[in-house]
Amino acid sequence: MVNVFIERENKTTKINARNSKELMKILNINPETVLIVKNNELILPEENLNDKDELKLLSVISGG
Amino acid sequence: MKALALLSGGFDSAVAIYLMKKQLEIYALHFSLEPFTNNTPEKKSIELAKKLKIKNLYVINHSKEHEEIVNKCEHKNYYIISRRLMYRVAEELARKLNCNYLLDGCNLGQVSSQTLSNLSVISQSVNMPILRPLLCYDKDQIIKLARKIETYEISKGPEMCNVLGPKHPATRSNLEIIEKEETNLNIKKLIESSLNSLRKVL
Repeated sequence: MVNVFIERENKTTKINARNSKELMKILNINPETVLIVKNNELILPEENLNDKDELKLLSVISGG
Repeated sequence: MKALALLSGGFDSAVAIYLMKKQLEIYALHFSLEPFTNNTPEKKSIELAKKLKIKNLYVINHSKEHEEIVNKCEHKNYYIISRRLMYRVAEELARKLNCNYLLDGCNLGQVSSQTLSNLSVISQSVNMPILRPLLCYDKDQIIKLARKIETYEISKGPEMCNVLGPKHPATRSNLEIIEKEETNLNIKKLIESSLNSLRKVL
C-alpha cells in the first residue's frame, strides 16, 4: 500500500497500486492534470511503486 | 494594445481569450511540463490557439523549474510559488513582445487554490496589469461559453471528473511566508532558464 496525498482534495489515502499509471486509474485521475512526487522527488508518469512509498499528487499548472 | 495570454489547454483560458480578443491583439503562452506530463496539454493549446485564430503561440518547458520548486519549497506552497514564477516569466516575455497586459482565465470558487487571497499573492509577483475576464464566472457559465465558441471539445480531457469536480479545501496564503520560501530559489536564474526553452509554435 502506498500513501497518497492528493493536493487538490487536500486528503491522504492508501492505495494498492504497482505503478503510477495504475494508481491514476484507481483514483480516476486524469494523468494530464497532476504531477507525481514520490518520496519528495518528481517522477515520470509511468514509474513503478513500492510499498511504503510516499506519494503526493500536485496539480499541474501549465498556464491560464 | 496587446496582451500575453496564459493558455493551459483547459476551458478557462480559452474562454478568457475569446472574451478579450476583440479589444486586444492576443499573444499566447503555454507552459509545458513534459516529461512529467505527456504532451496533450501542449497539443490542446495549439488546437485552441488555432480555433481562436491566435497567430502567435509560444511554449516554455517549465519542468526543471517545477522540479526545483518541488525540491526546495514546502509542497503546500507549490501552487502559489510555481504560479508566481510563471507570471514573472510571462511578464518578461510580454515586455519583449511589447504587450501591455497579461491575460488569464482565473476565476473564484472553482479550484481550491483560486481564492482571492491566493490570487492577490500571485498578482503581486509582477508589475504588469493582469486581465481576468472570468473572475466572477462560475464553471457552468464557462462551460456554456466554451461550447458556444467550440473550444469545449478541444479542452475537455479523456476523463472529465477530475477537470470538473474540484474540491474546496480552505486555502489561504500570506505574501511574507511565500516570499520567505522563495528565498530558497534563485528566481532570476529560474526566469532565465525558463526563457531559454522558449519556442514559437504558431
